[in-house]
Amino acid sequence: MKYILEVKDLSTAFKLQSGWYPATTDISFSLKPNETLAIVGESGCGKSVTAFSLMGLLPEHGSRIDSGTALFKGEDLLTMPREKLRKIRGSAMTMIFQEPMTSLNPVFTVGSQIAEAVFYHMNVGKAAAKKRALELMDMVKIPDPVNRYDDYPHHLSGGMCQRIMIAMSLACEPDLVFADEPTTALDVTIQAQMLYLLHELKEKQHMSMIFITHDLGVVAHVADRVAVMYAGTIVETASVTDLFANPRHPYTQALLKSIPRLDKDNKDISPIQGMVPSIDNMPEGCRFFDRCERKDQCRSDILPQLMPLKDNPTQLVRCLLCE
Amino acid sequence: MLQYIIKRLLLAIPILLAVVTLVFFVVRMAPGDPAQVILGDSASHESLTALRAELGLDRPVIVQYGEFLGSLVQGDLGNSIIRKQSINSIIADVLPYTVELTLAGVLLGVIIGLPLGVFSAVYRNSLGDYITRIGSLIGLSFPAFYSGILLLLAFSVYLGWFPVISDPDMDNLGERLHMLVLPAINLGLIMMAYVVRSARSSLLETLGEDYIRTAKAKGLPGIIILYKHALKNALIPVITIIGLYIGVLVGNSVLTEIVFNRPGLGKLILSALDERDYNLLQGLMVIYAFLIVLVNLVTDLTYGMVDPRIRKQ
Repeated sequence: MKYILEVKDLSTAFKLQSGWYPATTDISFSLKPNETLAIVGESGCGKSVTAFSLMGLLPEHGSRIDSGTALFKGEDLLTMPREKLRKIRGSAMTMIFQEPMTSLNPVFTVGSQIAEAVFYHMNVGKAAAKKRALELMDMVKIPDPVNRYDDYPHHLSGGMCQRIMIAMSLACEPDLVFADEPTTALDVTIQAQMLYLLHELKEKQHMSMIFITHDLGVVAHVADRVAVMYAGTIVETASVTDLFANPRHPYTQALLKSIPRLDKDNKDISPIQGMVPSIDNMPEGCRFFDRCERKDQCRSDILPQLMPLKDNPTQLVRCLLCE
Repeated sequence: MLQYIIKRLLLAIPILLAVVTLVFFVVRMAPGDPAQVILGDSASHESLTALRAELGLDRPVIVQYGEFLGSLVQGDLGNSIIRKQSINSIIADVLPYTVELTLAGVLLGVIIGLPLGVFSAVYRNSLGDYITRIGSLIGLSFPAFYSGILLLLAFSVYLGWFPVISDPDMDNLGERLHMLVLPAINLGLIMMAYVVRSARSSLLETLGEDYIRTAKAKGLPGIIILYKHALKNALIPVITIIGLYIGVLVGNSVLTEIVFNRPGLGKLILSALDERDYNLLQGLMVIYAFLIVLVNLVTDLTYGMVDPRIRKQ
């Protein structure tokens, strides 16, 4: 099996008051076993929507998947029966969320919430599930798991809650973990610990990871490949080294220029001019056109496709000027 | 835990004191005179004065108040002015009727209201949801005396399933339950309406929480997500509403007892008002205030059982 996950032309739409509008359009990427793909982009660009679409976690009312396939270990996640998807979810494919404090149920003990994932997927008794939960708590480096098992989420710090979430997501030795901005809500020192932990566990468990973030510093740390999203589309995918060394899409270039750096004079920082087009007013052609520095050399009426570069076929760019 | 309960009961003392003080003076400010009620309109001035002296009503109000507090501390509510009986025993005779009625009403309202509220939230904006919501709105808007009369008309007068006057023999369990049905439904309708509405909105809010998304992401069966993860959280505000409206229900039990001609605190309070039986009225108010305080305490304790964040401080 070459790819663990192959997504092709995934489009998801949301219902607003005046009708259905595309939240993501023609998302395509693939993921090898043991690989980490980072999806980066600003808030609202469709990173989380992409992950939720694949996990089957979109709200039942007011959202729909318009097109696409998503082969997970050879089976299409988007068309399989709900019950089958439910069994994959939480066992072979899991997710870690952004807000650890609100993502755990406040009225159940943290240990029981981990054990629950084991209990419902692994066909074991309550005692075995508890034993496994304690192992997992130890694995994510929670000190004194036996005593922490009966704590409620409000007894623990944000970082500890996120460790619980991670333990929960690893309960059934998944092949693929979605990490949806898992460090955004934590303070910087805890962020570093968490990234290190995730990386270590990923290596140990031989799993693939899709890491959603808006933090390019984090991307450089964790990712093997990167997909840059803008206004509901992927504008560039490349290996992490290619992306930082040789960004080709004008948006990626502008994004990298807007990061402040400690080792350079920060007068060079240039924010991207203009605004992201809103969901109910998407341009027909290139979505970045209005903000693009090189728009004088380009045309606004054609939507470019995500195409491999001639000089580097592993780097794909959605830009007329790069073809 | 025991310490907490004792603390809460001690805190009830100032509340009770405030209630009895208020009642004591308000009752005496109201127009009317018990001596006049006892002796009738044609009584002479001398006999009225004599009776007032006999009842102790001629003494300064503040002295009467002190005397009342003095015996209250010893658990004695005094003697009824009109009935010449100990108020403790008068109340003890009818208290079981009211307690049983209120409990049955609450139970009925919760048992029917909670599943309906869950149904309404899960199938929101369906026909069933609209019917449930309109039904609960009707339950909310009907005054207890009116719904009581309609129930009597339908089930006692036309169908003849239940007696019109519910004055059960407390030793006969079958008769007791039979006569409890209609009054309990009458009270339960109100409770049900509140429970349906609060359960629906609370569950809808809970279903949008992050931890519900986590439960889904964990691949739990839908029924476990709804009944375990969502409902336990959604119950917290519903318990508050139930606790609050038990107080309202106690008020409505007065109307229900009168409509169904059922013995209880409600009927007693009405006659005490009519007869200007100051002492009995005071005694009843103390009991009502105590019941409300007790209900609040039970509500708070239930809270802790459901929500670990409130459990111990």
